[in-house]
Amino acid sequence: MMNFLRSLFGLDDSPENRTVLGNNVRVDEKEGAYIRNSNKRLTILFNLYNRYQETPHATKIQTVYEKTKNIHTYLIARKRAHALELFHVQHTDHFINTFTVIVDVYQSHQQTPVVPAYPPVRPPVLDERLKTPINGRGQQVDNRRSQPVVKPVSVPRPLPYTENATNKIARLALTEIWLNSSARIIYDKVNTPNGILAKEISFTSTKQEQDNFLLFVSGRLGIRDISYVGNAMVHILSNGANGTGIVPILYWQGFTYALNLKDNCLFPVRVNR
Amino acid sequence: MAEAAGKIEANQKRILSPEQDALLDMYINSLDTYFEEIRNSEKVQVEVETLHLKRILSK
Repeated sequence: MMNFLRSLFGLDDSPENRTVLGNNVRVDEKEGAYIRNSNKRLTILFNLYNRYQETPHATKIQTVYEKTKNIHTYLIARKRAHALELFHVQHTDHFINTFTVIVDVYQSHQQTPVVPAYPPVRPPVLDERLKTPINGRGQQVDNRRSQPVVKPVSVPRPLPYTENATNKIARLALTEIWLNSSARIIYDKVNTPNGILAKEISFTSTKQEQDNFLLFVSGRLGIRDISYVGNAMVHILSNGANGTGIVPILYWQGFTYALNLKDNCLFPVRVNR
Repeated sequence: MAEAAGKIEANQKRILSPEQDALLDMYINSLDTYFEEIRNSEKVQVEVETLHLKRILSK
């Protein structure tokens, strides 16, 4: 920091710079350091160009490298290392940061499907993560999302959450049921002048009773073209307390569903005949 | 020729967004301006030096 400030103020005393003509007494040690730094930056620029070589942007990066090198040569030839350092601080450093981050992010995205673990993170990316936490979070989400893709290749650590989840889904999807032809379900109670009339549905219900039931269900679920299959004992994974019970089975759009009358949810089931 | 170049470009993977690409162009331009500026400033300095020498000699 101090060096940088000095370089700034050093630029201002041009009368001192003018006395170079005769006496070389004041040898500026900083100048050597500046030239070495400048060379380092040129190397970094060239490496950056190499990383962009497979892209259509390579020529432009090369232009940047060459133009920077021209300025470097020009200023060193005129012994203006201060100005060179200032130029790099104001231009080259920003350029290197930006375009390194861009290629880093690009490559890390390219690598995630292939490399099982997290891709090696280079310092500039780390810097950016610290600076912009939103971006950092975004990347983490990306990594998490890519884990299932990565899993089949090699499993660095078990993923119990994912496995449990798939198990549950499989059980729900392949629930096999047996129709119970004798069980009767009371699905609605209607107050009539003669007392409470319980509406029942069963495998042996008449056509009229079944139609009434389907009308009732259509009204509650808001779906049409359903048909009644029968009643069955089903274990439903619901939030409610008793998951097991006799429920009506419906046929709707090519598949059979168990209907939970409590919360009007449909669960796909396979009828075992 | 231009078509061939276009094909090559299509085969390569674009990393930069159009905005970043424009930024790259701007940076190249700013390098040119900077180079022009330091050369101009040198011309000015030469003039100043000449003037300085003239004044010393005219004293």
